Amino acid sequence: MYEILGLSPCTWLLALFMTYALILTYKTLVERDLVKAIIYSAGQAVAYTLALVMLAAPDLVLAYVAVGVGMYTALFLFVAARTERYEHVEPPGEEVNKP
Amino acid sequence: MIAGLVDAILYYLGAALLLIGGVLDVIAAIGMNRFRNFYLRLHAATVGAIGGGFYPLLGLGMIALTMHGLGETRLYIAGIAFTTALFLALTAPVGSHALAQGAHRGRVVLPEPVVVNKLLEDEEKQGR
Amino acid sequence: MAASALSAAEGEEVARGDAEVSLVPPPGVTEQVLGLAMGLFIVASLLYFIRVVKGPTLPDIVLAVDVLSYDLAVFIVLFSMLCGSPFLAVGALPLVLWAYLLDMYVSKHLARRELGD
Repeated sequence: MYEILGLSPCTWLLALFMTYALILTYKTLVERDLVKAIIYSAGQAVAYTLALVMLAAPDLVLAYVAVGVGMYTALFLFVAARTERYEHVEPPGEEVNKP
Repeated sequence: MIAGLVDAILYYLGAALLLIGGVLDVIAAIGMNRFRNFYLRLHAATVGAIGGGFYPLLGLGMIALTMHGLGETRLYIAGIAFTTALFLALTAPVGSHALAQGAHRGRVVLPEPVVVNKLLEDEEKQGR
Repeated sequence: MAASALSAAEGEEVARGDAEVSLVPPPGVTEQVLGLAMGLFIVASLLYFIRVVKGPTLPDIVLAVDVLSYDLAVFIVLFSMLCGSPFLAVGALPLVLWAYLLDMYVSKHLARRELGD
């Protein structure tokens, strides 16, 4: 088996997919649109799935795909349809309207 | 004699499908980045789903049928590849069409280089 | 005498069978073909990921995640063939089917602003 910079190709692929997951997690955190954040989180689940395949854990793959891509997205879209879609953040120093 | 010939045909057909599928997938990814509108990106998504998902899976199944070094497990891999190809060909066009319909009906993005939009007129006539 | 002739004929059969099996290239060539295809799919997933990160509207992101998951399902089967293990390939089918359900959820949510019925 050939090596790239002293590491095997599986390790490089694991690093690539974990980088995808890290970037998508950051986008989920800073996103103001709730539905977009949910979809970013589903993309993070897809990247984690590939990382688990690289780690040779197919049983975890079955559970993680079902929960991360399917159930989580369905549940959070169901919740997001009943609340406001955009996250309002008052700029600092402004008066907050209190009833 | 016949088995060797069938193996050779399956192998070269599968390798051709796999490599053509890989090239089509890269082309679809480039188009996904270069089109400027959601409805134009649907074309690239179609190429990426059928040309970049269905064809390589068929080719992988055919190659896996000829890998006699794996023993019986080659049949498992071929079965998984063919089943995934079947369900991908069934579900990917339905999914992209549903997404386009949802995007149009929710007025998220409207088709931009358009002369006349009868669907929009109909939906506004129905009071949606 | 007859037995030795039979075994010689069988040996000829086996030899000719080996010569015809060699129509298919050796496993090293297959491995290189699969590696080349794997490189193509990795490049494609990188470009799809760029569209996922900078997609301006919601359907763009959903479409890019969808096609990215199809691409990576092919990648899973490819990787399991390179490893020679069929148990790694079972993740491909759930990935495709749940990506389809993600499409349907988001289209329902966009069309009528709520999930269900």
